[in-house]
Amino acid sequence: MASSKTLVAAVVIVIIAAVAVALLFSQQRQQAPSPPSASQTSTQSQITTQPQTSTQLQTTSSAASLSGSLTVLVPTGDPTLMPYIELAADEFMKAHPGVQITVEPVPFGQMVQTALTALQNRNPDPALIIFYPSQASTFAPYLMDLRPYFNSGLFNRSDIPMSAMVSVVIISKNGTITKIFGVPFQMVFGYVLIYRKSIFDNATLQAEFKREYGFDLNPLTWSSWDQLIDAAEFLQSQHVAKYALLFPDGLQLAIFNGFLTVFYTYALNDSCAGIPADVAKGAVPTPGYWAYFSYTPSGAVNVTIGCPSFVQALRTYKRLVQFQPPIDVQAMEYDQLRDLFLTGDYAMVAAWTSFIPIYNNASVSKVAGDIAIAPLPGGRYPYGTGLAPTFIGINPYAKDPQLAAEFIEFLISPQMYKLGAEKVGFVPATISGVEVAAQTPSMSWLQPFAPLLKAGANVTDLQRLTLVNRVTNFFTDMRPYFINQVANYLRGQQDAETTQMNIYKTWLNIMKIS
Amino acid sequence: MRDKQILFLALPALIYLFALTVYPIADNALLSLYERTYEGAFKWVGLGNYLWLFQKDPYGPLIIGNTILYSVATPAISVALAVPIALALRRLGGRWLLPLMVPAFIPPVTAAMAWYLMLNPLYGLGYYLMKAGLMGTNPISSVWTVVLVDVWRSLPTAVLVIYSGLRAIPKAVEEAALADGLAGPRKFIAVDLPLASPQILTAFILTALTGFFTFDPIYIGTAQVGPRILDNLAYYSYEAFSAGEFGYSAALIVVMTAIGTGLSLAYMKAFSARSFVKLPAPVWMPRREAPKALHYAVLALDLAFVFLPLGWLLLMSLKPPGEIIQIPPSVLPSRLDLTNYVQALGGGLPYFLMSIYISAINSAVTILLAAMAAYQMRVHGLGGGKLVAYILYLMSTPTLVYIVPLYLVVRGLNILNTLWALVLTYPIMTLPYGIWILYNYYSSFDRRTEEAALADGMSRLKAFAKVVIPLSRSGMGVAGLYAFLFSWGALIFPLAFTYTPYNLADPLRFSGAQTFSIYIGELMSPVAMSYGGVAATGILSAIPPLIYLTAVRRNLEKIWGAG
Amino acid sequence: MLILKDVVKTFKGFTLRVDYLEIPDGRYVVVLGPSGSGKTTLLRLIAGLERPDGGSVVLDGRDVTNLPVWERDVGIVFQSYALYPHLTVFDNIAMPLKNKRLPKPEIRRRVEEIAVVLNIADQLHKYPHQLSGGQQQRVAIARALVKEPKVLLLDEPLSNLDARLRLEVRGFLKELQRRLHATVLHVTHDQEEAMALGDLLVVINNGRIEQVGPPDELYARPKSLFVFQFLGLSNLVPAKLVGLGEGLVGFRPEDVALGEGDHRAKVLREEYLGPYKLYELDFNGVRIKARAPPTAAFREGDVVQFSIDVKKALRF
Repeated sequence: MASSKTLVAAVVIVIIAAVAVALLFSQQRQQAPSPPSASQTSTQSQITTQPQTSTQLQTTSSAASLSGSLTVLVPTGDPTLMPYIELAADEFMKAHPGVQITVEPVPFGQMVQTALTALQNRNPDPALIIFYPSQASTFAPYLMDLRPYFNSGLFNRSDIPMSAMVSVVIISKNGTITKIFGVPFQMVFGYVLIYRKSIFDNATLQAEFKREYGFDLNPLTWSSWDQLIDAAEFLQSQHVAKYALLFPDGLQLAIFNGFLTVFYTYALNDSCAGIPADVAKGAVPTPGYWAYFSYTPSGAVNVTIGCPSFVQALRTYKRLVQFQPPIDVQAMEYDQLRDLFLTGDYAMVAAWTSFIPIYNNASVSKVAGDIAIAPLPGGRYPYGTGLAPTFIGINPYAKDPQLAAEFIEFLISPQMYKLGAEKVGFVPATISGVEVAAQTPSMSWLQPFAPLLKAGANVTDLQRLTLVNRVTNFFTDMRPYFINQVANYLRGQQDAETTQMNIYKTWLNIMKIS
Repeated sequence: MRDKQILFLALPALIYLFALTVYPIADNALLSLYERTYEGAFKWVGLGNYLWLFQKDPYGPLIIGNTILYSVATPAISVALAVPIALALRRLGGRWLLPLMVPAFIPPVTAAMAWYLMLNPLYGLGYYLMKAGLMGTNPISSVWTVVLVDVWRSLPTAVLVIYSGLRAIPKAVEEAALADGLAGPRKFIAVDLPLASPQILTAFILTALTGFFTFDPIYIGTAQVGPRILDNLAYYSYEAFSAGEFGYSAALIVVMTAIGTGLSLAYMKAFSARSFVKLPAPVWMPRREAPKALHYAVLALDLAFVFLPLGWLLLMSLKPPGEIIQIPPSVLPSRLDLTNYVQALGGGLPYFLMSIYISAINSAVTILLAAMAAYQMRVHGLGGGKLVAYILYLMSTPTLVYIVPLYLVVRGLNILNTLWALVLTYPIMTLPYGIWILYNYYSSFDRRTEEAALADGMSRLKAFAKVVIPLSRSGMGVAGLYAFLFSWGALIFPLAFTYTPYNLADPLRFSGAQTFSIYIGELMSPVAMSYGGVAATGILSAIPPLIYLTAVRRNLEKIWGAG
Repeated sequence: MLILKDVVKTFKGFTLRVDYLEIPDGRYVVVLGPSGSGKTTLLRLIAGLERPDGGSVVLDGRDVTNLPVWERDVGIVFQSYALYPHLTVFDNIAMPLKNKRLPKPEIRRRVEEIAVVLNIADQLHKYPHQLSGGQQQRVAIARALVKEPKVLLLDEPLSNLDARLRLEVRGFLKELQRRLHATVLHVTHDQEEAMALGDLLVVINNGRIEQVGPPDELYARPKSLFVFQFLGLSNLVPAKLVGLGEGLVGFRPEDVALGEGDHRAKVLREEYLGPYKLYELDFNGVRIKARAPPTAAFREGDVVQFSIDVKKALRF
């Protein structure tokens, strides 16, 4: 019995200790991690207008003296990303023998948690973290403020389209940029229309299509979704392929991004959506998530879901996905967009440009060498195609942030981009980079996209464009609801108006603004 | 003085268990009152997280509904299927039990993956199901697919428990029933079912726990269905955790812990009550024995149910890559091709190694600590019924409950993403089971063996090491099997505490500690999806536990009462 | 009357063979044999719990060989009582009647009647685990008797009781049988119990019936060495030693008279048993037992004279 008394005592002590530790932890949490960054010291406003001359920041010319080590966290899955980083690392180390760069691969599905864990844990490694637009807001609090490097001119602001930057810029309520936490270095265009040359170059089909529909069977000449749908109907009726068009409607992400492509083209002409004038001019293909949010005159945040263009887009979207197996048979997520087109069963696919190397890989693809690329919905109205940049950011706890910044500068330099285009088919994110890359014969498909990038270099209404970054539960709570509602509409379970109302009401109800 | 040594032996396991379970449970309650702000700080929100769940969260009702559906449908179907299977086993012999038990030894993530691959509407048998009009919609887009996978995984447990209940009916009672005019179905209703009712209830609650805490089928299936549609509280809390919303995650876990505690208490009550259900035996029921052929048919159906997804997985893993995404899908590979295995091993080696390390280490740690505690609890009555009840409670508590606080602890110790993080945390899921298995094992242990050793002048510690341990080998083998299985198939802890694969360039640092389960999940993600590689990893993941299973088969059958 | 004819039942390495056995009505019949002799198999064949490989079982002129247990008009009391733990005493006893589709009032009447007979009328609402072992057995007997069977089969009914209770129940069983004029077939390995209870004994060994008859006949005139040695204490010596020619001679300890006679033996051991004493003697290298009055005072090591009642001696 003595033993059980001792045991009870031991248990009580352990419980008390446990609760004490719990309280202690929660105390620490309240004096929470304030991300160490330059943002506290710098109260600079718009970078474009006020370049800072910082003496401690070196420009590349003296870089020969660089030394140290860097770890880069690189997501796997994109066929050109890893090779490009490795190539750049090799070149950089060649140029700076004192530098050691380690490339650490991470599977796509794990990348957020991996990076977040390191950042929250204040690990010095990885020094550089690569991420995508939809992950940007998650990293925003933790990544280093890069404004000093922009201000010093290490990164050339005018060469990076602002439309590619909106995801990594934080703006205060009065319109001041308070933080830039990433640099776009790879551009993926999405969605673009990838189509089979063997079908579209068929003169008989071309003639018959022209006779029947009155316009050319050439995506580069189209200017609306209706024309794309007409063409798909035509091809379907001609039985040139099992399915005429493969359009994203996957339930994880594809609906969200696929629909946005359609919505943006309608919102451009909808005053209710209030797309800023300089964007609406049509110069910039930036169908960002921002299009869903707007400021009310009083400064509150509203959503544009209630606008007429939203219902228009819903109807068009439903017609776009009618040429493939229905959503309740197989929803088309990234893997289906990637794999099914390889089978040769589809005439067209709305895909990411990052899939092109796979489509052209003859060992797995039946359509290798048979593809051509056009913006969506067509070459004459290319605003359905958006920019999906890949970003790179710096860990504020890195041993040598300066070295990391130097490596980023190297990554986005025209010479490196040229090499990347030639050797691994990498698509740059800078204006000069795209121009250089498009010179490479295998990358000539980039040419129609180069002007889009260039035209979008200046966007003034940054407040509107970055508003979405302030919606803290946009991805965690609002996106899932949106996807399921649109899926219900595609399945025929509810009509467009109900879908619109549901999303509108629920979004307003659950939206959290920081 | 001897008593001190008794406590001393049991202490490591008990201190560990109390410290690493009580603290997280308490801390969850605290955390659930905070919210992580955009800047990453924790802000006091009172009951805000709970209010959000019940008032604002558009998926709150759905997720609670799913949780209830999983924890009711899974046991209902499992038990309904298990009863005829257990009857067939009783009629045809226990040697059929082993193959039927296989699903319990397959890592949960592999089980989920095998079903989803098989039911895939384009590349799997789902194609033919839909073509034949048996399914109108994508067969993998429903909550019932989660139930299906859970039934597959929990059916063996239900069969085993109910079979042991049927076997425990004294032969004489069965003969007395014959003399009283009870035979065939009529006897089944009047005698077998009531007398096996405690075991049926136990089976119901055990499988209900599987359904209640189901995680892996949702993890694998959610990409095919839409966000949140399949989620239960367990999965949703993990999602919130991995999005960094620790407060909301903790609140969901608190709600889940409350419901889970209710289920656990019901389990313990069922375990100790042993009261029988009474059923009327209507005289219109036939007395003819079910023909043996019917029993064989039931058995054959269950074997098909068990091995169909595994067989499909095996066939798929052997197909050349081009054939895997072929429509319509072929059943047999045109030629055997090991490309998928090369791919799976090529990318999966670090994961595989890490899984082997942690499974081996954790099995050893679990066996030793569990034996030390269980022996003292059973033979010397240490802790009494309360301690046993706590162990049972922990057994029926999902590891998910601990992740948020433990994550903060592991991070504080600076061992995140290392083997040590797993070594520290894994025993939480295996130790309670180990103690329970050995606690039961020692019930038939002759304490005079230890007393004889003490009489020979050994200390208790020495007696335990030299006499008790060597005599506990078969019990420890079985406890080790379960520890190995849980460690091998674990998904939640490694997902929470690791984020890169084992760094083979610097193997002795043991940093980077993602396990093979994670690798499988990775390959299933829509971006990296490689069906062939997934199938091959699935087969590979099933091999180590099945090897272990065959190695300790004898001991298991002894415990199951089969053979 | 129950008749077994040419019944054969073979298990792995064991065969029970009954050429002919007749169990007369209204008698208390005890089947006696060592364990593994086949006595329980015999009972199970009669009960219908086993089917014979050949032969027939006829009960009151009806061939029941292939009838299921419940259509045979036999009542069985199992060694372990085999009560339904989930049912009350009443429901336990009522079970056979319920399955005969008797009307409810009839069932109630008969259950209560038999409960009175077995003196458990006040236990009907209880559950088996609330009863003592003896009470449980009475419930089991009641359940077997309530359907008014033609034969009541008792499988080792006394083996689960302690020694004192055993005597009591023994008397109760016999009285019960007499009162109801039932035909009882009682299986046991205990020869004392068998002789005390049986109107008729069936001695069975190694799958064969050795002898059937009243206890006194079997004791006094066993047909085989097995029966002789199995019933009561026995001595077996080479016939030459006692001057009776070749072969073996058997006799009971009470047929040995110590003190005087032609034979001499050395006293090895003395057992005091109350009404008499039992001596173990060394008789030319053979151990024999002899009975003597409690007043006898031979000592261990003494050489004593004795005689044998040759009339009662048996030659084997």
